[in-house]
Amino acid sequence: MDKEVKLHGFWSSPYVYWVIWALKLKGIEYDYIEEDLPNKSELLLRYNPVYKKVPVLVHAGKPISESPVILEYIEEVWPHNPLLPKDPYERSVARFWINFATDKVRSALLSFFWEGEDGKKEAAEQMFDLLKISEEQALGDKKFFGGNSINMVDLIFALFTCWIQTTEQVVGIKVLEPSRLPRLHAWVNNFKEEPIIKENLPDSERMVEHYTRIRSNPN
Amino acid sequence: MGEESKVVLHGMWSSAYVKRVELALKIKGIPFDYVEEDLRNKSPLLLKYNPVHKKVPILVHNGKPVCESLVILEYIDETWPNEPQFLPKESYLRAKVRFWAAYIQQVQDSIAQLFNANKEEVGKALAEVHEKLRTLEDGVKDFYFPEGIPDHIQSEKLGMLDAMMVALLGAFKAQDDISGVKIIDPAKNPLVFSWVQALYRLPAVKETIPPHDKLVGFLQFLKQIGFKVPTSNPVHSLN
Repeated sequence: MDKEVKLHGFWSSPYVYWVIWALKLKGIEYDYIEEDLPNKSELLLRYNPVYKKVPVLVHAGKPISESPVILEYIEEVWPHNPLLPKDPYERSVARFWINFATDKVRSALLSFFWEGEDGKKEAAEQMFDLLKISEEQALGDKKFFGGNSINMVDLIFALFTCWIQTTEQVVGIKVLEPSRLPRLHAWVNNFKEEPIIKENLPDSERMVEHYTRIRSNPN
Repeated sequence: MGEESKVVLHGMWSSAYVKRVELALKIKGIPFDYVEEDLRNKSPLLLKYNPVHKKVPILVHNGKPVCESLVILEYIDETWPNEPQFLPKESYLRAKVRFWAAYIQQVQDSIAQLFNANKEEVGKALAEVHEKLRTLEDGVKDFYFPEGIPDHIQSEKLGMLDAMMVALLGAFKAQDDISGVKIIDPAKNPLVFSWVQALYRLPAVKETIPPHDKLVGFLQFLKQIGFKVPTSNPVHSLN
């Protein structure tokens, strides 16, 4: 186990998957270190003292934290199989949607997950509103957010795949339905079928079990 | 300069996010038109350019809108690659700048919480600001100021973090007046104190910071009507 690139992660974290997919799509070899999250390793705490979280990418001994920062780093150091457009304007549009997903979608998903019986319907509706905006304005009539092939925006919007699906099951409310969001629903299936993505998805049963346990026992 | 290549910044005079972009354009020497938006009565143009968030700043270049201040800063750096470069050339240093730029956003949130705090909460809110500034100091000092904080920062050397610090704390005197406490305390955060002092000496910075009295009046008004500055949701992790 001594590759130049190492990734500290946790099997159910969407942010870790973003990095795994980026590395694999670019054919970058790496060592993976699964962190036992309640018992974070010394190394993780040293590499990410500010947030103490995964993912952390270590390249030639230098740690990088925060998944959007990691993704931009990977894109710059290994520019083949690009995950961002070359044109600065198109890049700004991609970064806008990446920001939208990491900020607004992530918050809404967390609210949707954590809301109790009283608030969950409203949280679900707020989640739906963001899904609608994503479908209409980010995806449009394209097959993928990146156009004909997936790019970084697709990777980030993968929050709309396993993680929303798991949350729907755990909370008991469906939001991403084909009747209400046909294009986004189609995208979910297309994304999950993409080579590399298909072979690197968390197990859905294990996810439901894991998140059900977390929801009823937040500590 | 034809219509197409015109640069227009849509903003609001007291917004820190707008200030980041305004300063960036000035530092790069990019001529631009400025449109002041009335956020209580949003213009059709604003809603057309930023239908998702309906916010400022919006940079319109060649008729096309770019939204979100950090996205705009990266766009400016890529489109006008002349000095100063907001992000360093080397990839690992770029990652560090992006990391700390995102962290400065958290400090921004803490300052917003300080503004929103009632009398009993002010002490705790202020302590959190100082603590976050300490984390920032520890994080940036080695790579951003390898030779220590200069007395004078040259405008040709300003970077993304400098622009964000001006926007965050440039109006600290007004913020201090409103909250009744010292946000930048040289005893608690000596590096941040020196950094902001050095930035304040630049003419471009002085003319970008909102006028003190106007800002104090505006913030007092917001306090009176019970306006709460929006902050990002504190998030549990999704692991």
